[in-house]
Amino acid sequence: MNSFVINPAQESRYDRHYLIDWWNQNKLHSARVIVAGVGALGNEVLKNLALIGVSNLTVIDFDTVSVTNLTRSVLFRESDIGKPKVEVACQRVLEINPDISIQGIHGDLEFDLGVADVREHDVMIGCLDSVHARWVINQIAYRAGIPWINGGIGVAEGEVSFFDPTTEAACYECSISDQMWQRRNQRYSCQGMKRNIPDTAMPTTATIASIVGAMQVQQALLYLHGKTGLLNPGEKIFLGLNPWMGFKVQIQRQDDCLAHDLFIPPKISLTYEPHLQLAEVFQEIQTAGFTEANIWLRNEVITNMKCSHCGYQEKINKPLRQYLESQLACPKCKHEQRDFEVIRNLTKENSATLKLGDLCLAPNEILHCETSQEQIAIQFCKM
Amino acid sequence: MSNTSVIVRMADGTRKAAVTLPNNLTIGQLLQTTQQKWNLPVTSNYAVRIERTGEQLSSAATLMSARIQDDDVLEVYPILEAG
Repeated sequence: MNSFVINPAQESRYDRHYLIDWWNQNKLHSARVIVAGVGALGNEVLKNLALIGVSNLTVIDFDTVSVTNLTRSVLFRESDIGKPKVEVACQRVLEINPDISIQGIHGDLEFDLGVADVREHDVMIGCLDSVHARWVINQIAYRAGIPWINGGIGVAEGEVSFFDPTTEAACYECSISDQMWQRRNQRYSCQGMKRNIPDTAMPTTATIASIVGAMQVQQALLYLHGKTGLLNPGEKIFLGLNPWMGFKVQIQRQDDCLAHDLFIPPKISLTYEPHLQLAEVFQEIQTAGFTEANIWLRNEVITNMKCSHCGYQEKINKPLRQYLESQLACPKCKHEQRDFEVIRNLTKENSATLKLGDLCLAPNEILHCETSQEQIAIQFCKM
Repeated sequence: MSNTSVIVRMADGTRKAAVTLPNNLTIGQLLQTTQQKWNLPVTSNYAVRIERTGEQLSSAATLMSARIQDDDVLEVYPILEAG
């Protein structure tokens, strides 16, 4: 008598996903997602993305692990205190799922994430803790033409919102009230320098972080599958756990919101070389057929400072919003104020002595440029 | 100048008031007054939605421009910044 052995099918990691009729694991395998912020929300988002098998992740955060994070950061341990959050998060994400690829950027979203880098992703998930940081990610998303999913938490309340630059719907900036702008502007001097104001400790818990982080990833999942069902662009879900409440709102698009005009596909690509003279950049622009070019920096840069009291000169080359107001005093004679030069835009005439390295560009940056012919975008590709 | 009679309430149900407001009042002014009268934390920002339509209102909008109607319920809820 013939006999045969039936081998049970080898179980695979994603077997339970395959039972979902709309699920496409291959789409998640090829999806590229940026997670901005590795706090409570970022921990939950990264954990979920890794579990689900979203296989190409980029994560950015400038902070280090502190003991107060441990109540709501599932990826961190006591032994991680003092280490960069992105470094720990990347390590733990790979422990959850060794099959994914994750790149960590230990840096500031505002200054260290280039628009062209963002464009190489499908969606961004914002796990941030200030109005300013959310405004920054909104600006980057709209310049890159990439949608982003915002999350916010309180003690027992949470919110998730979705913004898509490829639609006419409201963006995050549309929802910023005058009061929110005022509070955000208090963090900077009237000259635009950063004030040394300690961050306010905001009470929150692991439970609401879990729920909101899960909803952000669910929204990303639906978007990557081309599905709707949770949030449409310009919508926000608000929920409360004590007492229970839940509702969805449509954010009103503001006609005067400038963020919606930010997306310009690059027409010129140059290799970023820090020693490249701006004169050569302008020559390239002219060769491409564009004249009277005026390049606008995404972040203004302080170039030089000079003490009006003792004459001491110092080369700074730092983004204005990153420079601490407390460092304005002269290091030599301690005079309280120094004169400084700021670059906001570059023309052939005002940038004759400058090199690309003086501009503090993020890697893979895209800058907007007015010309006589039209407004264009220039990509500075990393080597 | 005409007025509109509405219910203003906190989304968590802790506060509620029936008020008559001038149509040229902005949502920002309404929120400022609400924050003061109800002793809401000054360190938090708030938003308003019309329960009838589900719209979150811009702080610059007036009751008239937002098309607020008599008996509308305006819900106040915090803008959540932590993450």
